[in-house]
Amino acid sequence: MSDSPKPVLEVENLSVRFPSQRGEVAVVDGLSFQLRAGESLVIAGESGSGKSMACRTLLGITPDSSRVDADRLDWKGQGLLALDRAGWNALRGAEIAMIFQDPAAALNPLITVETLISDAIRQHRGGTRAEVRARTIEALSRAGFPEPEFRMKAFPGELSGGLRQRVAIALALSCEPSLIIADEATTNLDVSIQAQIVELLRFLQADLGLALIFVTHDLGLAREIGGDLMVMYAGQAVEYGRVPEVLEDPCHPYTRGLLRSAPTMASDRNTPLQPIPGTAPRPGEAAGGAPFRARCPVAMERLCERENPGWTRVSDTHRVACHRFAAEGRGGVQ
Amino acid sequence: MWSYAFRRLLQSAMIVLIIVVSVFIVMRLSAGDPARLRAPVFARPDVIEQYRRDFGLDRSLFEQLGSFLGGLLRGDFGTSFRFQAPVTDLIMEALPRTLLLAGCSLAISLSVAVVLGSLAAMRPRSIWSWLSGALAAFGQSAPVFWTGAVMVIVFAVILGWLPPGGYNGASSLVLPAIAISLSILPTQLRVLRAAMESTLQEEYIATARAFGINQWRITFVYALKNAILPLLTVVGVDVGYLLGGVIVAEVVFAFPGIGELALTALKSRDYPLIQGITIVTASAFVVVNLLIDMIYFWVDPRIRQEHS
Ligand SMILES: Nc1ncnc2c1ncn2[C@@H]1O[C@H](COP(=O)(O)OP(=O)(O)OP(=O)(O)O)[C@@H](O)[C@H]1O
Ligand SMILES: [Mg+2]
Repeated sequence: MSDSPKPVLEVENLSVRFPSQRGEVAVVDGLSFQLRAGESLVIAGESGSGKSMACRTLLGITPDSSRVDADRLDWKGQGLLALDRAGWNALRGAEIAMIFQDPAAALNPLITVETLISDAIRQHRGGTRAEVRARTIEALSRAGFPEPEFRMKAFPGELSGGLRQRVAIALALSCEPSLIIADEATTNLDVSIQAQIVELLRFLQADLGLALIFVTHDLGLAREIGGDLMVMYAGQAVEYGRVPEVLEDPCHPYTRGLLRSAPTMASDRNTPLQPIPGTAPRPGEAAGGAPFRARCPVAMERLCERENPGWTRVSDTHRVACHRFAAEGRGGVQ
Repeated sequence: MWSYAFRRLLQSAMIVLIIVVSVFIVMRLSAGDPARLRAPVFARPDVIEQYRRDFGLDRSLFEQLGSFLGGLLRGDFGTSFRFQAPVTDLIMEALPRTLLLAGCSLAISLSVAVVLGSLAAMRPRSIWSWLSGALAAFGQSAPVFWTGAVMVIVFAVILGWLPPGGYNGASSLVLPAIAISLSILPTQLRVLRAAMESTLQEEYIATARAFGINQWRITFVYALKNAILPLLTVVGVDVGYLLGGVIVAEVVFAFPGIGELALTALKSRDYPLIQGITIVTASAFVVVNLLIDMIYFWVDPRIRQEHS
């Protein structure tokens, strides 16, 4: 919001490319966004649209074979792409922390909860044994992990999915970062636990003034989180705006399709779910035109094949990348 | 934990018992008539009969097995023909040296496999990666007797740094231990490197990196705990191979351990001694595998859970 003038995170034209038989393909392609302290950004899109990969660039942990480019990738005014290993390590966890998508895979089966969290704290905050232990317990109880004193000796395999998720959250909270990236932090959980976790993240955000990036498949959850919403398709942003704006007035055919196929959108209770026909393009397949053209009900034959649509302004805070919308406005994408 | 340990212990004891009985039977079937072997060449039949009675060979096989097992329980493996001394004493003199040699060899090869294999996995295009490939290829193609002989020539005969053989304290261990460890290293190195390479791709390693954990701690603590499990399995399987290497090395370096003792026993058809050595080495194999299972249990909480 406008009370903190300078964004903590500034991203311009971010892309991640991988080598392939057909040459280099982009799995994240030209993303731009900003985030202020205490603000949140929801990134939504189908599986494989590059959400996780985009988040990983903020921690410098994309796979070794990848190439990351950006006109700007600044954290508090500091260029991330120029960081060396020590620079990254000082930032990771302490400034920017990530809650990984699948805690079953993201937690080392042979490292106890306590060791994992204490290691991160020791790395960034130091302190005596007792202080580190106290901080570990505090982070766990903040994340709603029950009886941390006794249960933090557990290995991840001894915990339920919900508790593992809380461990991942506690780890992210442990070094008091300014930005938390929650990469589908609730996808693998039952609805009731999902609601608890979202509640917790919102509470922590308000309490600690965190910036939050919340990645999800589920536009219903976007409404709970609030802030900005970026809809991604095939590595590109196709629509960007405040959450209510985009949800009430979706301007991209893909966003509309996504809304019609989302089970948790309360407004859609009475109409049956309509999945988007076809499958998402593989990396590189959508290059050269509008990324969604192959599955788009209102694609414009020539234009969408040839030219990638630039942004069209919908309001001060809302923009969409669609040839049809640019030509005909809302009527064209109905 | 204790019930699992107890169960495994009982299992191992059963295996040792089966080994003992099989060794006893096989020796009786294949060694020929020991009385004839020990008696003077042209001994009269009644002299041979006297020998048979002395060795207890006139009794039934079943009785013989019984008294043999009874003896084992008291730590009595019988008397060596060749040395006219209790087999137990002979083995107890040689065994600690052999265990020391085997232990040193294993320690060397495991340390090299862990350090070099991890570095090679961590830095795929570095000198470590090249070195680990070269060492694995070399160890694979050079048998113990060859590396042993070459090392004796270079380090003992030409340079005179180390004794060429025999047993005179720690310096006598160096060359044979290196020769043996070179022979068991290739498998260990390859297994650890492959396990480390795949472990470093795991999402939980990305998590550790994402929280700024130092890269050495990531490799040698976070990843190694996972990557070392396949190596442990290999060590269990390789103990037999290790023992083979130890026997060859003991012969090459005239190292007075179990291997050399076994060779002497075989050459002189000293079957109580052969029998004793076979039982002891086979039991060592069982014990090592039991230990490895216990280490597994201790390292891996998933196994602990399975058995609780
Ligand atoms: N190591 C890699 N080499 C090449 N391509 C990769 C690699 N890792 C991921 N990709 C590709 O990057 C694309 C984006 O993956 P990403 O994990 O960011 O998707 P996502 O939007 O997070 O999907 P999900 O919702 O399933 O988590 C995918 O198409 C994937 O195939
Ligand atoms: Mg993802």
